Amino acid sequence: MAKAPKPLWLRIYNFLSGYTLAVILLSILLVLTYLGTMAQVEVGLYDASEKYFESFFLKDKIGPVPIVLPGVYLVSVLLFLNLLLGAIIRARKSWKRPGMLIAHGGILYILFAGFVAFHFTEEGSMMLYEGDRADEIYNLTDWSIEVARHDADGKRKAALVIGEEDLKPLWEKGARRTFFHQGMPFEFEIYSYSRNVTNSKGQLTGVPLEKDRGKYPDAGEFIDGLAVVPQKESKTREANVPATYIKVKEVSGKVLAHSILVGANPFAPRPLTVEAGGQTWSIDLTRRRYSLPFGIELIKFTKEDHPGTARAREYASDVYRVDDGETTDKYHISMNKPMRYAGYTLYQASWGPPDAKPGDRLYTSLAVSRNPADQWPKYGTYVISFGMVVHFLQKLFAHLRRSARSRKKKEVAQ
Amino acid sequence: MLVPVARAFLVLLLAVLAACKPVNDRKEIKTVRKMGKLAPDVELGLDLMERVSGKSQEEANAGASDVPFAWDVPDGWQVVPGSAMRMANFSFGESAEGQCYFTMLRGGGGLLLNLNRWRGQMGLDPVDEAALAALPDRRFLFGNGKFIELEGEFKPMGAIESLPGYKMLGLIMPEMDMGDIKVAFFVKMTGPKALVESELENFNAFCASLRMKRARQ
Repeated sequence: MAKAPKPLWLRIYNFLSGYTLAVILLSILLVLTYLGTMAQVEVGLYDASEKYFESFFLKDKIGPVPIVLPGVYLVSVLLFLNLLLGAIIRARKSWKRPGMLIAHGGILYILFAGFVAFHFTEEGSMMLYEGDRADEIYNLTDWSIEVARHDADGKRKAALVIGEEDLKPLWEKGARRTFFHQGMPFEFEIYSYSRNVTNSKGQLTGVPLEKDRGKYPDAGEFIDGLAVVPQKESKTREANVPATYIKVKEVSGKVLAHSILVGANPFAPRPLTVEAGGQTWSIDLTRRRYSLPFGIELIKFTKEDHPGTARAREYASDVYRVDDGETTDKYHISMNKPMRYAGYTLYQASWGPPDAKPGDRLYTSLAVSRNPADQWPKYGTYVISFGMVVHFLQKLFAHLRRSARSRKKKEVAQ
Repeated sequence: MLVPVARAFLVLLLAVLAACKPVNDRKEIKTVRKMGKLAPDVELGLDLMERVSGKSQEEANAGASDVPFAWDVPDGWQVVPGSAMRMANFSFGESAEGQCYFTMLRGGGGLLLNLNRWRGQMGLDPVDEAALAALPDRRFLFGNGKFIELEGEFKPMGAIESLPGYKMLGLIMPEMDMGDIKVAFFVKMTGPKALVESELENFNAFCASLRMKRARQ
């Protein structure tokens, strides 16, 4: 009698929790790691990371043949599922092998930490001269559009933020997207978004004047004497400055503004100003900013050079934490000694200006991050180590027991 | 066992390919960022040229390159390619850290307003009409201009931080009628204090050499 076929759900479950999928996924990870690493040479660190390591799927080519591959994000999700089903749920539970369960639990924990870090980390920079204060950081590579209502003094209490994740689809040629919010008396359309409008020297060569129209046959529409012309993107992603066309409309359809937004200097925002509903609003294309729940004031920046050179040997920042406008605790931040407060870590990252001469005033550059899973990989490693130690000790004791038994047997036989 | 998985993968693949079409949709903004108390101030009401180039209105209105003025370039000054904003544009100093330019502003904007804007760029408080009246007069183009000398922390438009120990020299010709429009003329020099002081004679010579092209023809 023929054996009854297994139900579909069981076959899927077996596949998802099986070694076959684990081997396939690990092989794909190997290939993607190789491709992603090699691609960094061509497109730079961030773009390669986004394309290969942060995507669900990616388009690539083998020679002239276009192919679609799963991204590391998808592979990691499947690997998590595979480990959970195969090594935890489906695996034989026995007091003889708790170490393996613990070790696989540790691997799952690290994969989960990666997921949390990827989705919830806030990273940015803060540059301060001595005496300066700041309570916001900005990301060097991600851009955003911030929309804010200003009171009579020109101040903003909050900003609506369109993050890079919603701007990314606009990188495609021909893409356009209308953004709205119930608290905003208008909506606006973003189109012909260009990821970079600067040349290698940082000049805005992608925003030509109308009088030079002849030199830019590919230029889009000219608005108030300027247009947007995409320029070659730099592999150093932080050097790219985006620009886009924007059309602001009232709900009735009346056009309030038709203009261009160009990526702004985070220290001197110069946004598009819109008057709507008797209120003043600003729309700014800016590096992604994050507000901190506290401020930092730089008291002193110290840089020590290697003798006889201008190469920094050591640099450090003495700062005050500022709460509600008042300076509070003092911290010393150096290269291996970050400041940790309220879930944020402030590292001594750099200093500038890069072309500073001896005696010039210097600023400190602090890298700030808030990663809820900051320490999780460390804990995960401890868990894996503990699991391995338990497993190998059990194996060792089992081996010793077997050896003792076999010695006894031999002794009895003699 | 692989068949249903392969089918699912195929469906996903088709979905991915369908998603490759450029978007044309509507999206609600959902993220709100509360401003910090130390957030930088925003310059409102700027026109596109000011927002994009970071140039002041006087520079933006300075006109095209075929300017009707001529001048003599002082020794040691480097000619910087002209722009729509600056009729004459120079740099000087070892690292070209000093600069001087000549511009024209349609409408003028008022002498006191421009003086106080320049003072603001040097980190100085605004002054009143009395202080303006007390400024020395200098022969400039078609009449007299006000000579301005300021020291402080210079913050160029769009710069990240102020530059300490800087000096600014300026000569402003108040609004004058030119046909059916009013214009004002400016010469502005900025740079490290010692460098600007060493270039004072050149600044005076450059201002004195400014003339209408037609005047010599």
